[in-house]
Amino acid sequence: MNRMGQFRQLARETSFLHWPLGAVVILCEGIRLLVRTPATPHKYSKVGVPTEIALAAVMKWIGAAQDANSDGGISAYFSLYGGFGPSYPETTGYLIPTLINYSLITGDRTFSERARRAVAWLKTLQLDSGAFPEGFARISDGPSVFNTGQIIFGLLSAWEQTEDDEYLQSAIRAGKWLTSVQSDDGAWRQCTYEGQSHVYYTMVAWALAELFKVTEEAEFHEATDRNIKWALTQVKPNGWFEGHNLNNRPNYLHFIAYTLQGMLESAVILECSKAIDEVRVASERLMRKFEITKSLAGAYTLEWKPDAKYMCLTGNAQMAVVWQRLGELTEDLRFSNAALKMNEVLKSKISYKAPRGIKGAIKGSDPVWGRYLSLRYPNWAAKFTADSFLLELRFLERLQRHFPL
Amino acid sequence: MRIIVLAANKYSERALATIVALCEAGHTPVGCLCVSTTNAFNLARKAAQYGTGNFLRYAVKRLGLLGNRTSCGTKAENSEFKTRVGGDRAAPSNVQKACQHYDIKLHYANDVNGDGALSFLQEHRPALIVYTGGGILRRRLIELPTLGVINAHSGLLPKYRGMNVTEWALLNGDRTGITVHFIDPGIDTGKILFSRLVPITIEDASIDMLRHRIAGATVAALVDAVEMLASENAELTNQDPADGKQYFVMHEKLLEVAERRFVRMVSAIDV
Repeated sequence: MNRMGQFRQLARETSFLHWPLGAVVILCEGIRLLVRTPATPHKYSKVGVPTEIALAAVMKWIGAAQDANSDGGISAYFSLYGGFGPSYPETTGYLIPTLINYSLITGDRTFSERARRAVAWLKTLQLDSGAFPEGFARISDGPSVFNTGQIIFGLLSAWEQTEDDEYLQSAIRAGKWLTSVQSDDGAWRQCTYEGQSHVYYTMVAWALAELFKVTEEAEFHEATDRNIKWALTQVKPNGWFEGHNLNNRPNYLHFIAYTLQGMLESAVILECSKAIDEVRVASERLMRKFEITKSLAGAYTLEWKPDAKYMCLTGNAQMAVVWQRLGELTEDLRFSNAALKMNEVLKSKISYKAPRGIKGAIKGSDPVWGRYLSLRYPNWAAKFTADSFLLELRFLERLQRHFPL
Repeated sequence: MRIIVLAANKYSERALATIVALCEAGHTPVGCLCVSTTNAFNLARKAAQYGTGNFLRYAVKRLGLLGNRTSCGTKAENSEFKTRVGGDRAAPSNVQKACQHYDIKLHYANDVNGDGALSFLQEHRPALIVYTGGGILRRRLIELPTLGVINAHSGLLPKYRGMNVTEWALLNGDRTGITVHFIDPGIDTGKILFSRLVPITIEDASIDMLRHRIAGATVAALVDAVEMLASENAELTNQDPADGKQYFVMHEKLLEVAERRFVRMVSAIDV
């Protein structure tokens, strides 16, 4: 979306009714910053709120974000100046697996029903080409590579749950469109954010890899393989992945983590150990930073120096997911240890007693006025936080089986 | 050999036991550099680190404000240290009293890397500094003594560097032990003097007990290291950081698992 589009979006969303709440939140954050104690190793190594309770709070917020609009999609965020925003196809897409996983683990079937409503809405948006549109619902009809990739996750998840072939066919059409617009070197340059290649489109490659797992169609394997090979050419000697191409914006941790997660999961399916190793090197760097400073910056320079004074909580949650997956794959429990601590950070940032819209929500930035998704609580922050909590429960259950009480 | 001991604070059991052990072995230090415990900044940092309630409880206990001294006058919580310090009423009960007893120059510093600390060290020209705590050391302190600064790490290097290494070794089903090494600017990456296994025994009821035994073993190891260096009998081994990993404070949930694994390992020991 260009600047004019963003301004129009902001004007549409602003509602004076929410300003008093926003003012209170900002004031409380300011006071908290003034009296905060320095981060210490012991604070994050102890259990705060039980993970099950924090997870339930986050999922309840996601439910509220879906109920805020009548179309079945999940509201992009709750903003302190305008309340719940419009439904967001991209993130609704990859929220569906989270809803389904939560439903399976807890037995709460309402979340399966929520997933069904979300995917039904997404299906109405698919273009004739097989692609899904960019931006928010109905605001733009232009196709988007990234959004299409993320929605494939939702379609596949829905198909696995319901065995409704329509979802699989929809995912295949989307996948074929993605392969048709991919450049020969493996990057995507058409129908991308600002018409450029982006290394974090490894998330799109991952979607195609998942599609390959289900369909065994060589086309999807080859497209994933080409993108991962291209992404590997972007790795610098210090482990940094070049090519985020966010133009005048900092390299937010959110996008760094997208790159790592997309590459890792693609590499697992394709059995590419070199890619897994590159992800491990970069993730270990961030893990050390977190363990030593007790915090990750909201953005980094290409020398891995902090480039923001705020935290990008989405990025934090995504890194916790990547670390947990690396812990599973490499059996290096230091990653799992860091993820457990990061989950304590995330739990400490959730308001458990707050007005609707904030209760159970995860801020874009901490403090809330930080540059990433300023004054907003995005649904993708909630999604990755929930994913990290779910992975933690799975990890601890596995340890319990190996070393019972 | 001119030796200076670095102590984390006046009540450090490790520092006290090390000073006593060195003196009993005939290697009386010329000085002791101790981080000041009453410095406001450090007190605030400790309170924030452990929580005000825990910090106050610890302070009350350490200062004996509620008459909770042991019958033999020492307040050592780690019985391994208590054994090395001695249980009679005459035994020194903290670093300050030990320095008075053995006529060791004691200097308090807010920051072990600060100018005041450096001046004290330069004045006493140590050949060797024995590290028992006090934080991360900076290069100018590490390079000051002619031989260097030695530390007894509670894990087997190069494999287990960093924090909670006993627990990490147990979690991985690995051996436990100690390593005496020279300190360099890296984290536990300096040249190794020697390693010793401290295996788990059937008497170890918990990881805490094992950790106490390991801590006690570090004192004996430091004395042995000093004797080796004094008699120029030391053989040093370089470390390759790629041969190990740096570990960090273990989350409570993994500590519980390490404890369960430990119990299994103990019960698997043949009696």
